Amino acid sequence: MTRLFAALAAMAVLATGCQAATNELHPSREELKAGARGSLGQVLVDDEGHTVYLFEKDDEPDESYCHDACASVWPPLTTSRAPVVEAPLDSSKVTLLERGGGLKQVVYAGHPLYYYQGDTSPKDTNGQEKDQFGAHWYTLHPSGQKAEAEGEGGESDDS
Amino acid sequence: MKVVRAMIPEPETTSSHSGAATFARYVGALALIVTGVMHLQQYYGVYYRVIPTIGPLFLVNFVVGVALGLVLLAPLGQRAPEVHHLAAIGGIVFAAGTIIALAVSENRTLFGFHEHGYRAAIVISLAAEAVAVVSLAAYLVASRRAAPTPARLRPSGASPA
Repeated sequence: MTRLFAALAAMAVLATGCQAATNELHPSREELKAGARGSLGQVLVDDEGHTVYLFEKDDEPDESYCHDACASVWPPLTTSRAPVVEAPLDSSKVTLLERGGGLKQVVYAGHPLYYYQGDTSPKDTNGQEKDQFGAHWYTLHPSGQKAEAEGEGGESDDS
Repeated sequence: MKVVRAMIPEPETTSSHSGAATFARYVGALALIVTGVMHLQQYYGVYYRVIPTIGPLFLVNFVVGVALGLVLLAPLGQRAPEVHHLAAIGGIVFAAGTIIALAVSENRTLFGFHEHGYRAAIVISLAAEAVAVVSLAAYLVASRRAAPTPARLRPSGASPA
C-alpha cells in the first residue's frame, strides 16, 4: 500500500512539474509578430514563434465558438494586457475578448486567435486548413486575411 | 490417526459474500470498460490524438481499461481468485490514477496539457472511474470474507463444538 501511495504521489509531482504548452493558465503580456511559413508566406506568430490560427466558425470578434474539448485541442491565445504588436502587423486591429475565468483572448482583425496542440514546435503549421469542431482553421496574414498555400486549393483531412 | 484438513464452509455467510463479491467484480469490470471506451471516444471523436503525450495516453487508457475489465469478467477456473484480485488492485490504481490525472489537468497542466471544463464525456468517465474504485474495493473485501480462513478449517475427524 505504501508503494501505491508513493507511485501516485510521484505521478502527481511529475504531472504538476511539467511545462505548460499553452499560455492560458498564466497569461503574460503577449507579443504578436509575423513569421515566414513556407508557401503560406508571412503569418501571425507569438513571441516564441508559435503559429496562431483563426477559427472560421468565429464570425463575431466578441464571441468565441471554441470551448470545452475544442479549447483543449485549440487553446486560446490569452494575454494579461493588450499585446505588443510588431510591424508589419497593425496594432489597431488588435482587440481583446473576455472568456470565462477572467481570461482575455487576443483578437486580430476580428478573429479570435488560437494555438494548435498538434504544433509541437515553433514554425509548425499542422493546424492549417484542418476541419475540426465544425469549421476550418487557418493561419492569418498580417492583413488579417486567412492564409492559404499558393497552388493548393484542396482541403486537408481532419486528422 | 491421519488428520485430513478439509474446508468446512459456513454456508449462509460465505455464499452471500461470494455473491456480493461476484456482483461487485462485474460492476467494477464494466466501469473500467466504460472508462476505456470514453477515452477512445475522446481520442478519435474530438481529436485528442493530436495532443502530444496526452493523445497516446488516452489510447493506453482504452487498452488498459478494457483489458482489465475483460480479465475481471473472465471465468478463469482455479486461478480465478488470484488473477481477479490482481486485476482488481490494478483496476483500482488505474481508475484512481485516471481521476488524479484529470484533476491535475483541470486545475494545472498535465504534460503541458490543460483540460477545459466538465463536459458530458468527462462526467461519464469520472463517474465510471469512481464506480470502478468503489466496486473493486468492495470486491476485494467481500471476496476476502468469502474465502476460507484458518478458523474455518478443522480436522475432518474432529467434531464441531
